[in-house]
Amino acid sequence: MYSRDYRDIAGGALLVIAGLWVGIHSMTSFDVGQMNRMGPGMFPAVLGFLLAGLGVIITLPAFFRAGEKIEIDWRPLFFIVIGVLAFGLTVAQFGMVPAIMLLTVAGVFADNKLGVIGAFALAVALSVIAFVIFRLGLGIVLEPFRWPF
Amino acid sequence: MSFLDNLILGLNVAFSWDNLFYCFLGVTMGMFVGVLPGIGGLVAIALLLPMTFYLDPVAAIVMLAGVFYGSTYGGSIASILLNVPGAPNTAVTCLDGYPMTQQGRAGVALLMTTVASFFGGSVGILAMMLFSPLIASVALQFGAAEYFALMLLGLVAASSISQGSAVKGIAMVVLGIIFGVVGTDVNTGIARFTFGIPELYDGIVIVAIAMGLFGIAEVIYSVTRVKPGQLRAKDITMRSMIPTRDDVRRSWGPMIRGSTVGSFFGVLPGVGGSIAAFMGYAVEKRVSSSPERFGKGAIEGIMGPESSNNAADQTSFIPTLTLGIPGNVTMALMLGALMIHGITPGPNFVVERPDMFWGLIMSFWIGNLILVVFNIPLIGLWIRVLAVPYHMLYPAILMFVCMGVYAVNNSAFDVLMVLMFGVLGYAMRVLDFSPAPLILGFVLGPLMEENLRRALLISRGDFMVFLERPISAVLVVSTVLLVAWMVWSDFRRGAKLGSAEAK
Repeated sequence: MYSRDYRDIAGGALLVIAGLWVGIHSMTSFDVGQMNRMGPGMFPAVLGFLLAGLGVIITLPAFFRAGEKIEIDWRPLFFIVIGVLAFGLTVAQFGMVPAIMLLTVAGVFADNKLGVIGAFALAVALSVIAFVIFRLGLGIVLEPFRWPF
Repeated sequence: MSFLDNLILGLNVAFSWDNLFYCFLGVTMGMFVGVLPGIGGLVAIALLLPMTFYLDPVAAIVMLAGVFYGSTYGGSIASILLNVPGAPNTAVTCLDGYPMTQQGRAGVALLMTTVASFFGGSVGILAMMLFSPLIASVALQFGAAEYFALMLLGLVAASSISQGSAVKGIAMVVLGIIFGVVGTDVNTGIARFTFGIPELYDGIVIVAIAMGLFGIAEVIYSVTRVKPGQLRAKDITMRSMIPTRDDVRRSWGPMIRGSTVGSFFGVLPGVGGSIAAFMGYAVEKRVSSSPERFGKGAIEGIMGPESSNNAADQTSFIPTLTLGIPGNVTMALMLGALMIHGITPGPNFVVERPDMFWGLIMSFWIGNLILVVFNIPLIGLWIRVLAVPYHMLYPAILMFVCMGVYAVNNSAFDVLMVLMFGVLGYAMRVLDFSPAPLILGFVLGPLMEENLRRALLISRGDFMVFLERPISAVLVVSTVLLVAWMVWSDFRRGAKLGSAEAK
C-alpha cells in the first residue's frame, strides 16, 4: 500500500497529456468551423479537452487516498512484444512459417514452462494448424515460405 | 409481409447448408472456448472476426452469434466442475454448481444447466421475435438528434453500469471515440490523425483494436495468473445425470423467473449476461422459502442464473439489430462485423434485410438445439478439454491473433497496430481501466459525429434541437440524470474510502 493512489495519478495524468495533445492538434491542424457547419477539427477538439478534463477528475482525488502497488508482469510483456514484433517484421518477407516459429518460440519464453524442445514442437504444430485453417480452410493466399533475396 | 412469411423466409435461410454448417461451427467453437478457463466468447469472437470477412454476411453473423451464446453454455461446465468460471457470465453458477459437484451431483448439475440454458435461450429468442419489429417501427421516426441522444445514453450507461469507477469508464469511451476519428473525414475528405501513413486513411481496423485489447493484453496479463484447475469429477455417466423428481419440481420456477429477468436485462445497454445472471441468482434467493440452502448446492441457484444469462444473450441482439446501437462489447464487435460487410443495422435493417434478420433468429433456434443435442453426449469430451494447460494455449492464441490480423489486408502494418493496442490494453489493465467502453466508443464514435453534425446543420447550430424533440429530450434528460447519479455514487464511495483510511 502507498499513501497515495499512484495508479490513478499515473492513469489520469496520461489521459490529460493525451487529451491536451489531441485537442491542441485538432485546433491547430484542422478547420474547427462553426456550430451550424462543423469543420473536421471541432469534434476531436471537444473530445480531446473532455478527455483532459476527465483525466484531471481522475488524478486529483487520487492524491488524497491510499492506493495499491502497481504490478507489471515484465517478463510476459517483454517476450510477447518481441514475439509479435518479430512476426510483424518477418511475415511479409519470409512467409508465414518462419514468422509463426519466431512468434511461438519468443512467446513460450513468457512463462518458460515448455522448454526449448517443447517450444519448437509447438511452433511446428501451430504452423501446420495455421496453414490448414488459413490456406486450405479459408483459401487465403499466404505463402508458407518466401525468400526475399 | 406477414409474420408467418417472415418465419418461413428465416427458416429457408437458416436451413441452407452453408448457414447450418457455420452455425454448427460457431456453437461448437463457442462451447469449446467457453469450457476453457482463460478465454471466453469475447476473445473468440475477436479472433474469428477477420476470418468472417471471407464469408457471406449471413453466414458470418450466424457463426459469430453462435460463438457468443455457445460460450455461455460451455462456461457453465467449467463453473460447475472446476469452480472456475469458463466465461464471465457463468461466474454465479460456481456458487451452487461446484457444491453440487462436491456432493457427487455434477452430472445432474450439468444436465439441468443445459436445460435451463435452452429454456432461457428460447424465451430470449421469443422476446426478440415479438419486440424487434415493434422497436424498429418506432425507431423509423428517429432523426439525427434522436440517434445522437440515444447513442450518448447508451455509451454513458454502458460505461457506468459496468464495474469500476464511472469516470474512468467514460474516459475510456472518449478515448475510443477519438480512435474512431482517425482516418479520412467523410464530410470534407480531410485526413485526421493519420500522420501521413497511407494505411490509416481508412481508419484503424476494428480487428486490430479488438484483438490488441482482448487478445494480446489478456494473454500478457494471464500468463502468470491462470492456474490449472483440479478436476473432481473424472467420469460422469449418463446415469448420473438423471435428476430426481424433487430437482425437476424445484427447477420450473427459477427457469421461468430467470428467463424473464434475463430477457429484460439483456436489452438494457451496458448490462449483459453477467449482471443478468447475478440478478437471476438474487431473485431466486429472495423468493426462496429456504434461502439458507443457497451456496450449498441448491439447484435453484444454478437454474435461475443459467436461464437468465442465456435469455440476456439473445435479447441483447434487439437494440443492436433494430437501433444499430450495441449494448455491450460483444454486440459492438458484431456490429463491426456487419459494417465491414457494408450492412448497417438499424430500423431499416429489419424491413430491408428480412432474410438476414429472420434467418439469424431461426439460426438461434437451430444453434440452441445443436448445443443441447451435443452438449449432453459430449460432456466427457468437454471435461477432457478442461485439461489443456494454459501454457500451450496462449501461444496458439498469439498465433491466431497475428495470422488473423495479417490475413485481413495482407498488411504487416496491421500487426504492428495490434501490438500497439496490446501494449495499450495491458497498460490499461495495470492502471485499472476497462477496455470494453473503449471498443463501444470506437464503434459508435463515427456514427455519433455524423449524426451530431447533421442535427446541428438542420437546426442551424442550435443545441436546443436536442431538447425540443420529445424523444430526444427524454433521452438527454435520462443521460444527465445518470451522470448525476454516477458522480454522486463515485463521490460517496470516495468519501467512504477516505473515512476508512482516517481510522
